[in-house]
Amino acid sequence: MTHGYMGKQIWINLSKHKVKTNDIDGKILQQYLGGKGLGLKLIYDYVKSNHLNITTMDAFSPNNVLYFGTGPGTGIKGFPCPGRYHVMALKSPLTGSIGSANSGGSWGPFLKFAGFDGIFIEGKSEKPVYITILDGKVEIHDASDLWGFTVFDLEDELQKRHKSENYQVSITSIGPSGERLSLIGCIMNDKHRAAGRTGMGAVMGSKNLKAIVVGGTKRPTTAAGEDFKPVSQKMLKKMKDNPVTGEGLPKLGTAVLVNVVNSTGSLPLNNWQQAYNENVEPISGETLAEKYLIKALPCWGCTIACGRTVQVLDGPFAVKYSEGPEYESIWALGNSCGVMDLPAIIKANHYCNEFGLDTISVGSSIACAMELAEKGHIPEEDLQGLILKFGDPSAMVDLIWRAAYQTGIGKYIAMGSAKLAEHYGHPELSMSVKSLEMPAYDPRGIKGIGLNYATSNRGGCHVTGYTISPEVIGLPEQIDRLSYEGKEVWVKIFQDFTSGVNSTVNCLFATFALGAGDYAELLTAVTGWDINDGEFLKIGERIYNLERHIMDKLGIKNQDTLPKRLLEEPIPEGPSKGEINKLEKMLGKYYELRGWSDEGIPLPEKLKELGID
Amino acid sequence: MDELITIEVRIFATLRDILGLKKFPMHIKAGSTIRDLLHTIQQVFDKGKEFIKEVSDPEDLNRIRDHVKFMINGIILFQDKILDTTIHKDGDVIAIFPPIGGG
Ligand code: SF4
Repeated sequence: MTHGYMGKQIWINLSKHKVKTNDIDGKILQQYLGGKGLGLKLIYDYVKSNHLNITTMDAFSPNNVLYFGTGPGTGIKGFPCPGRYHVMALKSPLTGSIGSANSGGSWGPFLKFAGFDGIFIEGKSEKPVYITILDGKVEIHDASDLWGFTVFDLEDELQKRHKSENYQVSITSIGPSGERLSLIGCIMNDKHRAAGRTGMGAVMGSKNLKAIVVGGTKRPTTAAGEDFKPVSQKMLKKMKDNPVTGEGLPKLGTAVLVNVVNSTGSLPLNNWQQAYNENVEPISGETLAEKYLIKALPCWGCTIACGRTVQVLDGPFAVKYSEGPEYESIWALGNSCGVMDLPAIIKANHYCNEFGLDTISVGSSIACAMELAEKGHIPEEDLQGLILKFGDPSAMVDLIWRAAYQTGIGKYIAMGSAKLAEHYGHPELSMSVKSLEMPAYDPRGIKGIGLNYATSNRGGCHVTGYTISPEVIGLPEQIDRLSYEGKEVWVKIFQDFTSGVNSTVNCLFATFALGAGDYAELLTAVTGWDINDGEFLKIGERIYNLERHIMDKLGIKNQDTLPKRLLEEPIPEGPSKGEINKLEKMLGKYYELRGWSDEGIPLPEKLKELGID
Repeated sequence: MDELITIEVRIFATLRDILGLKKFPMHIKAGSTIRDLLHTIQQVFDKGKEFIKEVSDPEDLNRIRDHVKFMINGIILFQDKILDTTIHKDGDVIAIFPPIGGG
């Protein structure tokens, strides 16, 4: 067994209700680490050994697989931000590409405390089931009586059933959205934490899998033993001394970005028709802190504690206790829909958690529906009396539960903006890449993030390669957000580095303070392998290329682009007035740098160089 | 005679707690630098000194603290050029942020 790991993976075939466990070869761990990377490698090998034709495979086929993974950075006391896990699926029902999502809380560490590094799930159960993984023991239970429960009620019930005196348990589950196979249904854990993107909740729902309960008394060890402490202290000090991880995030959370990004004229408004809001203050992080904040909340073992607990004491959107909303959610449910009402956003965010909907995708899909309706593209009868226009908080909140339960127009919103816009004959109004709704940074005003959205393997995603860090936040250095120069290099480095981080499986926010060299030092201390910064980035590059290679087999090529609006319609007002994104200035150089064809596919030499066969 | 212009200074997050406001207009000479602007803030606000301390490098008050962000009309100023950057146009918006992060 390698230090840092528990040394055991769980394999579950839900069609046969069979469970087995095994260890993973240390050489594979060293090449792919865990989480996202290891998940991809296991999925790739599964496809090859079963000779699956994945191009035509339906995402809801029993042959689709799900992998829940931790890594050598998860659940280790003293490792920076160690409270996360990563979920992969061979095929996302939303994008048709690989499914990938990440979440915080305590579920990831608790899976390790139960004695396991990851869970590979294939097949489909005939009846609803849930899985318990408790102190070394894996069991499949009937969940017929739990089907239909919201995330909150389900967690309360399962906590009661599986409470132990010896350890705490954590639950990952789906709500009504995942059960109803909403393409933007997500996986929730610890009530308010979401593995949000690419419809992973629907894949769980298609397998009739309601929840996974984990907990136990086991703990991962480190190769350095007592000598891990000085390495840990050095890294935690770096994070404490860094103004962003030591001060910005702990004091202000992520919501503070609303004002920052708006000030650059790059905060999409009204389904990206505009990108600057003269009066964004009612939904800013500052207003959230002043009026609704209860306190900060960390994920397991995290010293940053960027999470927030909130309450709305009265009014139509009163909520006694909730967590979040994060920057992206405030934007998607707020600015993107023209809704300048924080209580409504908090309520909508709360509903998304309760029902298991991805806040970014559902907010953006509602914004898309608002534009379709305002332009007269949605027939009256489909709206069932709902007056849908930008800026209406009640309509936005209303549409969350309609989407969750798929009633009326909610049925189409639950399928994501690409299918919604296509259904009403205007696919160009879906602000998505590879059908995944883009997050809260307009690439017309921040050029590099546009290249990242276009080339992100999972679709319109910011965290695949968060160039906002240099382009806006100023880390590791400030670069010009409006320039195209050298952006291909930043995007590639951030994508490779992030792939390494999501496979180490700790929080990406640690990377505001820690670089590849720090990760190499941490991994060396934890696992005993001797790796350096270049090798860490190489691991990330291998993972990113394997993902692309699988995408090629899925038939996803020539899709690295941006919505027409961003390529052709200049931002009408504000500090980025007149800007579009000239993606073509960056894309060719990026492919060349990556060693990919002009269809965006890794060339055989590149695959060989990275040891992918 | 130097032309007088009116600019708007916007401050954010924890910096608001110090001055007790979100934004204010200022009348300055066209071509004034951010250094001049901060000097005026220091003079006119009761807690101006505290504000300057918060945005300055603790080791060198002649330098802006790392990751304190200044924007002029949405253009982010580079750290080493902040203090000498000049403000020219009537209606320019100067935004000042403490260290921030998120995603
Ligand atoms: S930085 Fe925030 S999201 Fe990341 S692990 Fe810590 S509390 Fe969780």
